[in-house]
Amino acid sequence: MELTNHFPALIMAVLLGISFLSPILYRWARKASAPALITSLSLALVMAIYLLFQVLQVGEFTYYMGGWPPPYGIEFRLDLIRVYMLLVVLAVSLWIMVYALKDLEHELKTEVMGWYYTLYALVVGSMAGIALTNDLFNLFVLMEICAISACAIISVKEDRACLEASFKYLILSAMGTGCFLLGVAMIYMVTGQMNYDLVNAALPEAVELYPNNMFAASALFIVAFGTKAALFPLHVWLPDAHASAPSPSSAMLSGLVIKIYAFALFIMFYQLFPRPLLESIPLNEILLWLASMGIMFGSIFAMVQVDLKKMLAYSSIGQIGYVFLGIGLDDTIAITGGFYHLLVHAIMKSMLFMCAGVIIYSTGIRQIKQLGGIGQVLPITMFAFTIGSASMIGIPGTGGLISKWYLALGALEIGRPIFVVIILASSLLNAVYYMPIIVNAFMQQEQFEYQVKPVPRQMLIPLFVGVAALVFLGVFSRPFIVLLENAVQLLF
Amino acid sequence: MEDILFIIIAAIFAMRYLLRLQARGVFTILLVGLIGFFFSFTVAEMPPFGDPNNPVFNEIPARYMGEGIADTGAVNIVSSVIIDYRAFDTLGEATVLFVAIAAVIATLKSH
Amino acid sequence: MEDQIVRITSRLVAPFIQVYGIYVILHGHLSPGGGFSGGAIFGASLVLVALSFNLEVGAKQISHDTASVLESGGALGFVITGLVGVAVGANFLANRSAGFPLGEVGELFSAGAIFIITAFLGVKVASTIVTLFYNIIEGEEKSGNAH
Repeated sequence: MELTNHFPALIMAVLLGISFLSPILYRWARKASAPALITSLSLALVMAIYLLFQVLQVGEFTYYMGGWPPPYGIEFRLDLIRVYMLLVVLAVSLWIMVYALKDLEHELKTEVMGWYYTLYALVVGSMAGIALTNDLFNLFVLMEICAISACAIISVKEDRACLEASFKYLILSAMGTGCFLLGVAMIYMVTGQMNYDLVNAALPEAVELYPNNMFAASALFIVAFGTKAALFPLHVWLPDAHASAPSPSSAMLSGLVIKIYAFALFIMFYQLFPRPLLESIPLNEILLWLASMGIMFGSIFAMVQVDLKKMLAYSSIGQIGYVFLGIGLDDTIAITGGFYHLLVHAIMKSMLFMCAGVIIYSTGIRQIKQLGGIGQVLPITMFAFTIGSASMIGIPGTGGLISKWYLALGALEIGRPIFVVIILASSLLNAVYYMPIIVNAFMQQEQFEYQVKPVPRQMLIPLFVGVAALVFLGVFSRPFIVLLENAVQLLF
Repeated sequence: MEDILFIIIAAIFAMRYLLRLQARGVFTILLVGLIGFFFSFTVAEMPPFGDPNNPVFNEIPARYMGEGIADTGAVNIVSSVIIDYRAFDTLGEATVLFVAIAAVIATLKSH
Repeated sequence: MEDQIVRITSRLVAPFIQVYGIYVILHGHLSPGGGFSGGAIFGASLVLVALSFNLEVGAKQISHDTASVLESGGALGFVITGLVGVAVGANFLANRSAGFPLGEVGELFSAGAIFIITAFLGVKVASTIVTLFYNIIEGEEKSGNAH
């Protein structure tokens, strides 16, 4: 009973602890290191599920690090939307890790595996912290951890393209972190507070006195989170980074890392900036149009790609646009749709990257053109790919439809039907580049002419789990939608 | 006003000629100049440095300096802030060092 | 790099730098400094020896395994000190409320968890500097041989 109060801190302690322990375990007890990581991730997930039930029962609550209340210390805040994000992060990362254990064996050298576990645990830990923290400077520290470890899980692969992509990512993401720090400094200068709630209370007065500072700070935040979350004109690092990384890292980066920053920006909009400020600066409008452009251009760029993973990476630029669209529309239903899309896309994009990983593991093929007839030799993988693509397009029965449906409903509710057109058009574009792959894979009569390695079961089971989750999210979406609607309503 | 405009345009052409910049470089310089121009308004508006009436001198520094020793037992107030009041940030910073090491080793060992 | 003067000087100076580093770490709660700066001073002394002699002599002072254990151990120690708070019913990373003895103000052994955490941080930062130095140098040598 006592211990359960400390679950928010214990999640962080467990994830940071295992990341510090992994190099030692891998050096002296190699067999124990992978199970230890899986156990820690599961432990964190169990704690997060308990937290969800606690939040549902008693409403939101806070946790003071070191026992110091907000103006003096750091506060973790647990409300419904943050716990939802925490659950998505922990569940999806555990799922990817199960797949990664087998896939990494052929993508990485054995001596760096221990360090990969460390970096992976740190990505997950910092994302869990970003989801929960209620303190601006703490958010900055966690973003720093997340940025460096996200770069490192790209560059661990023995490949020159990985180094180049990772370096590009490092520079741009450091620029984003720098912008964020500058913005935090500006906010601290005019309010004297770091805690979200206290900044929120102090801002209306500060805006009167220092309007330009606040404009600059909000612009810096948009640039910072836009760079990190690959919002349209700031997405240039994403395709190389996500395409050249080892497949589990791609799944992690595309599935979760870009979304946690979209989530952080969302929290800024609804818990940090007071409503009058949001209405006086057209931040939502800027986000809306950047997101719409991202949705269209991401899909158009994806159509012309020849590399499978690069195509998936460009598709991520379009898909993160839906999440930003939900935030920008500023309407309960649309935000619900955006956050549902966050979950669905985390699952489907991770699964598609896993499928790409299986294809590369088994045949070594990366080119889309060479995939003809692959459905006969890798039926399970291509079945999972089909379900994932169907969800991308938004075919009924999969999760992708539900999120697009709610986004469109939200757009109609606030009287902006143009965004419904954009959502529909981008669904068609998605169909244009996903369908030919599936059709070629299954319908082509010619024999598949490449060598095929048998795929271990440990890589296929996560694909089944992903398929089941997508179909489940498509058919039984009601409880999630209700949960999200409650969570979002609390923010207004 | 026209003089300033003239100087700016002349400077751009001079830079383009002297540094052999492409059109893209000129565009970048213009953009950076524009951002700097807008940020200068922000700087002009900032509260004066070190003024005791600034918003940052609120109850937080008062508590740190007034009751820091009683709260934490440390004479060095900086230590009491970074390792007690905001210890979680320091744990994060230590982790940043750790992740930097992990990233360097992982990258160097794999290549 | 076979300079006698540099070698003798660095050998003479290194222990003093190390003692100073330990002093800065242990007095983190009393005087300016603390785990980060003290650890950096201590680590710099080891780097100094390695630079003025050669890598083998430097590596004899602290092996890779020791450095990586100290590194992880320092960070883990921080987390475990934080967990003590949870174990006794206070919050994570708590100091006074977790019952750490604050001691006499101004004494060396005072300030409870701050003293312990500073020591762990010092160990961690010192080994970080050494590990980073050796790994970059060795990575450089490896790629130098390859080309």
